[in-house]
Amino acid sequence: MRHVVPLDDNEVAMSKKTWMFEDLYFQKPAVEYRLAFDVANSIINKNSRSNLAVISSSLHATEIVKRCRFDLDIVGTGSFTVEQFVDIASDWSPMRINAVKLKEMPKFTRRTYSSIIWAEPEVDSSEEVANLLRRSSLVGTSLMVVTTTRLRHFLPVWRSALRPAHNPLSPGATMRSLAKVGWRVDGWQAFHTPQSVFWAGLSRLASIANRPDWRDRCFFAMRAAYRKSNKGYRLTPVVLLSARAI
Amino acid sequence: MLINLNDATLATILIGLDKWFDSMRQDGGYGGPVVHWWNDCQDYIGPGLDWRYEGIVLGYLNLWKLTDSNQWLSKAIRAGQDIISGQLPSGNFRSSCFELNPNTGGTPHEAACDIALLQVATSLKAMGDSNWKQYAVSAEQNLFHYHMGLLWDDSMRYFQEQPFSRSFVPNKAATLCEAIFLYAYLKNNDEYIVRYVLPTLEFIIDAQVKEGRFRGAIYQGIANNRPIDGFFPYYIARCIPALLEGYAWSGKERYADAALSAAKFISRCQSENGGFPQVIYSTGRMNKYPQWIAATGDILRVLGEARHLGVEFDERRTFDWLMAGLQADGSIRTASGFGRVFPGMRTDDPRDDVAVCGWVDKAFRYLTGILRCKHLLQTGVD
Repeated sequence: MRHVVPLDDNEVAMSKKTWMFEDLYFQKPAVEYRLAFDVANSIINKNSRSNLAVISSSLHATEIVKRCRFDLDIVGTGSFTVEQFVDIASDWSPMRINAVKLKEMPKFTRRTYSSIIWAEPEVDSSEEVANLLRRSSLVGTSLMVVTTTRLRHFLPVWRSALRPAHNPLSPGATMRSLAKVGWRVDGWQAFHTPQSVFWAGLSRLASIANRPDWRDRCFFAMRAAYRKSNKGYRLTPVVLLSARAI
Repeated sequence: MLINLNDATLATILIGLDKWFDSMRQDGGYGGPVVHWWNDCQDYIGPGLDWRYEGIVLGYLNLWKLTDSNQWLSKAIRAGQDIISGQLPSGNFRSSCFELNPNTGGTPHEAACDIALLQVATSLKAMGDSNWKQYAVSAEQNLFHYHMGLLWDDSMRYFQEQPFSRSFVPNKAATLCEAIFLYAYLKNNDEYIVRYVLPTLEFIIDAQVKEGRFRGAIYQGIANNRPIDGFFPYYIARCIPALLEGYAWSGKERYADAALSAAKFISRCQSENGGFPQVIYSTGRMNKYPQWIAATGDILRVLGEARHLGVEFDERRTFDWLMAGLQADGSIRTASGFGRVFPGMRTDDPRDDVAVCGWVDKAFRYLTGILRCKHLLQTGVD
């Protein structure tokens, strides 16, 4: 019943552990990532035509697989070996998922994609990937990019052995990289805002003061302030960019 | 049964709910947003194989048993097929975490799906339909591989909340006990009850306040041998059916006493408007809001089941509260006062009006259980 997953070499070496796919599938991602993937996938799930995910790790790939409701091509970046992942994950996905090699993408597909998710751009390959994605897209194609700032290091997943990405590009650098090759960034959503940090702090104080009622009220306020759109993102760990091919 | 609603009116309401549930179907099952006390899931709105299936399946089976009309049985079977189709190689169900969907391993959500599957299996078996086995096998895989395999703590002899969390949550364990009772009855094997259910029921009783102003209340959870502060009337109600079943199976008065005491506590919490506070803390303070509307169907159903033990409860008041939540599309509002939890007491929170399959199913199950006039729903309603 257990499905052993030889994850990419880098991850296995870092974690020194044999990971099972179900271990990954069972993991609940950080709230920031969960919301970002929910929003990003809502774009893909509107579209039953050709969808593509460009992914930096098996952690992110698993989150995409959980959410995909139409057939999906997956490209791995960095050390993420998508073919092995797809072999195992196919049993767990409600839809067909295909591994596509980055270098062979335009030749392999000979087609264009109508929706693309990119999580997370790596410093080493971002320009090349942005360019390839643009070449595989028609004008108007939606691109959702999950990016992180330096504050990602506060997220538990970034302090664990199995990390979501190797050396991710910042949201600002990603926007510049996209603009160079014909993508227009329409907007962004930032997750875990300073306001939500403030409310979380008040919630903890209320708990210490033995006021569980206010603890929960402040927690509600924290949830409501968790994301913001198209305003400063520098003090948030996870930022979802929404772009369109022009 | 104290409700004396015109049966034609009730049938109209049920037809509206049935149509609304149909409108919420997608490839893979019943979808839509989720709003909840713990979290919301409003961006992922795909199908969820969570506790929504308990009320949907048992509601349709109620209608089928009342009317003998196969249209209702076929809807229960279709829902059962959703669960089977969404079963993962690990035995878990896809997107089973309700407010945390599309994650998997949800508690008590997968156990609630098992209840749905086992009820379909029991009904089909009683008819002599050999298809019952596939539903039983699916529930069995989930119960054995996940609940008994990963959540059962053999040293403590209870079901822990999650594979990575050893805390004990009574209402979740109670739902699982209900599923195991059904499985044991279906298999005609009491071993599972003795091994898993009875020790778990003892833990639920241990989490109950025995005296004082909160007598009968059941703590929301136990972590590191300490109770987690907070009594949620709704969740306490979800503990009662397992205690009643424990009493029916064993004849031990302590289960009935615990169920009665819990029911009396819930009854004491009833507000003037018929709703219930969200949570009461051991300091005596509370967060009244959001007050559940659709979910009070579960409270009404459970207190109705416990009435024979002697609990007194103004069912009409809560019934009116539930009915006031009916919406034009046939659904029922989730709550009143989501915005009033915030510091500053907002009154404009749209979550109140969001109808959620996993809340409306509670009302649907209750309302299908009180309908008596079978001819109203006997023929096709399309």
